[in-house]
Amino acid sequence: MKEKILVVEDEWIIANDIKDSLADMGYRVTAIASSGEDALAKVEEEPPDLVLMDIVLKGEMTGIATAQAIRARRDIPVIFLTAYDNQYMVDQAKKIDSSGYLLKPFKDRELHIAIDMALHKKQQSGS
Amino acid sequence: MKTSIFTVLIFGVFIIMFATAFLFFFEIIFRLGRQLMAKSNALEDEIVQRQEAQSQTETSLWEKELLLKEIHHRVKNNMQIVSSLLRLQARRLGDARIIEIINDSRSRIGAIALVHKALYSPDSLASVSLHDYIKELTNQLFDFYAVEQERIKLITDVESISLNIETATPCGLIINELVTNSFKYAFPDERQGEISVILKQNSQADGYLLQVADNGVGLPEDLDIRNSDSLGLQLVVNLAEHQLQGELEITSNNGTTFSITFQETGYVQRI
Repeated sequence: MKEKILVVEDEWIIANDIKDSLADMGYRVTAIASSGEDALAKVEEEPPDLVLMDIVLKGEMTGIATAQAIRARRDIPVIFLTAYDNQYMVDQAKKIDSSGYLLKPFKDRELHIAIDMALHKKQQSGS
Repeated sequence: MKTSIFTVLIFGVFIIMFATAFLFFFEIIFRLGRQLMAKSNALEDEIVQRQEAQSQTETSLWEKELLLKEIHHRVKNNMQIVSSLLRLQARRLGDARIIEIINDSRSRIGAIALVHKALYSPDSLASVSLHDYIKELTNQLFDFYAVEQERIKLITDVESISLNIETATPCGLIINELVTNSFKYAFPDERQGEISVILKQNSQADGYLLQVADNGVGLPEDLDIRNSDSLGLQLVVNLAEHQLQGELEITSNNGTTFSITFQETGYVQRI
């Protein structure tokens, strides 16, 4: 069965580009959410195996706050995606128990490895 | 007796005159002192005002630099979006040749995007460090065209040179085209080889020498570089000779070497 991924990214074009890449890697994208509130709703609608989370989002919630809210409810690994490499962002992201931090633009191969490792780790800790 | 009264009188008048003069003198000193105090206070105020003005100028300069970096960041992100847009399109096409054309365009956009990335890095604002830029650009190209560095070895030899954006961008595009060209044509049938990118101060003239070389099969004998249909070669020739107003020399002997001598293009510094 294909592993399910939720993509949280407010830039539609980037989100769909990532969605195509994920499909090429053999994953299924459950949905694309463009805000934190939207992401929480989409997680409840169809819980994914992993969440790819942009840090800068539309609306009131940042990606970091959204990840925190998701992790508080469900044990779903979250990988952050961001174009910002400043230390403040990294420090904020560190406070959350995340499965990775990818700097845009990232290579498909990097994304694939990051997802693979996060899912593998989850599987091991679950069994 | 008369004399003594007269003396006392004169003496008294004298004392009164003396006292008046003293008071008058004291008044003058007092007024001068007050004026001096006022002047000194005014000067102190001015110093404080000037210090405030200076710190405001410094703050506004800092804000301006920060905004400029933010703009470069956004330009780079927007180029990323353009590139994603093209990839979305390419994935919906069947024709391999058109897909290749779109991908080449994405690689060119990537070369320009890296210039903007260099301009928001912490230690630069108006100029691009070519040493870092060329390293990033060539690595990006190897990733982009999925070329194994075990098969084609990359050698970069770049001096510590910083150039303005107007010079760095055409340099980046030229390197982009030439390295891509080598990937595609210099090493057919998965052949192994080397690509080198060199940038150094030109010892003869007050300028720079950019050299991109490979040890592949060389250019086709019948190729007229200045009248080629290939956009890549047109870019190289025209960016080198017109945009950079440099001199281009091509040798095809045990591979291909493109040498471009140029100077930093003269724009009035705008920031």
